[in-house]
Amino acid sequence: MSTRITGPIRRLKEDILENTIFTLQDFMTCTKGLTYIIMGGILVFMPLFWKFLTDREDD
Amino acid sequence: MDSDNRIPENKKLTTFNVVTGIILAGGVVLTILRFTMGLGTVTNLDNNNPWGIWIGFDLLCGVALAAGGYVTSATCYIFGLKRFHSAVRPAILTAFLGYALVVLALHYDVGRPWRLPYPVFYSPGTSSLLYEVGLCVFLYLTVLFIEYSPAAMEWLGFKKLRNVVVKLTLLLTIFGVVLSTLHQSSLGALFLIVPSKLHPLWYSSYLPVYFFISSMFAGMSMVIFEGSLAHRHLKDKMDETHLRENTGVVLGFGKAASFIMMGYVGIKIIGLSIDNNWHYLTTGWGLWYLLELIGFVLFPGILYAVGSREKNLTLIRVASLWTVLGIVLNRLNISVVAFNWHLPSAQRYCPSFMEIATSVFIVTLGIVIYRFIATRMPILHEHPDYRAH
Repeated sequence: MSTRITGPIRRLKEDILENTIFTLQDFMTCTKGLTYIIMGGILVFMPLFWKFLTDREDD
Repeated sequence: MDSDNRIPENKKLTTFNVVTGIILAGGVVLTILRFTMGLGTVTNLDNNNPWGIWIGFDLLCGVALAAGGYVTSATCYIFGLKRFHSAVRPAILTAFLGYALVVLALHYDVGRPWRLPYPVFYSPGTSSLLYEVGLCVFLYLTVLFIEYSPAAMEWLGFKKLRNVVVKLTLLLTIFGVVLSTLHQSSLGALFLIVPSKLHPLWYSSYLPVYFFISSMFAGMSMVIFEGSLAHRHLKDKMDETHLRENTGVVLGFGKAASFIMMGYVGIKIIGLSIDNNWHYLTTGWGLWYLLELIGFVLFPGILYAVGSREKNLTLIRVASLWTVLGIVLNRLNISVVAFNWHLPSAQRYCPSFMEIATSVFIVTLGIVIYRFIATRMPILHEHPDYRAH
């Protein structure tokens, strides 16, 4: 059974993967918005990764 | 530690000596061909592809992999992590030889070696990135020579001069870090001028940042890799301190490299996102890009992390070799593979056998000189007269 993606997720897929962005406003909103989300993810990931690297140092 | 440098008669014709002898002899022939018959005789370079593997491999990879010098000396003298002190001299020697060979390789590409001082002293192009790279490499090679010189002076017995140079260590380290920051990033910035020639997945306005950050873990990986080779082949030249500190150096640098590599993967994803290049990932070029980023950065980064956590030195050493190969792949992708990507394959550059042989000759020359110095001078051990430093 194939599931049809609809709504905002479909729009995001079209915008990003199929590169159908028509205006600079769309481009900036889409790329900057996604970049900020990724940066947030990195900010959460890096301290956790540092903890993973160092939590056995006292052993 | 073996202090006798005389080689027994039966050890002169080893496989290493025979192979390096053949490579060096071939290199001399290629050098004569290059400087008497011109670039066209030995290379496949043309007006569409003026930069080949002598720039992509010898220069870009050489500079990146020689970053161990500034990384290790900054770790020890600026951040005060003295437990890495035994790694400083081998790293400085590798960096010095690396940069010296970069300049040598540049002669093969540019030609007319007597004009080497021109860009710095006669006609400085102060608005050019190439000028900045040239000036930085010239200054940093001088700094590395001075940083390396105490080992040679200890060997030669120039005690007073050696003591003067050692007092300059911190100043030279700071100077080295500043110069490295400038030219490592500028090598990436050189490609900012070719947005239409370099594939969008590799082209980014953050190229200078990528080159600088990747040089850090390239340098650390090179220190680990070169240390493991020295540990295997020059163990008799290492003293107690070097052998004892080696494990700490491998674990510490492995951990630092892992953290920086994860950050590097992060900023590469940010670069993809900000330029909206996601759709290229589903093409053949995208798979090649993902192989570079996941296979040669993320994967060795994870190997480093697991190796540091589990204190598995073999895993860290494998990761260091993997990372070094990844850096070579990245620099070759930017300068050769993804460069002029839109041209038909008949017009693409493919290095000639003689270009590759010349690069092999230059790398071999570096290994031979390193071996000559490390077996004679106090690089992997402390000189008995100067143990206090």
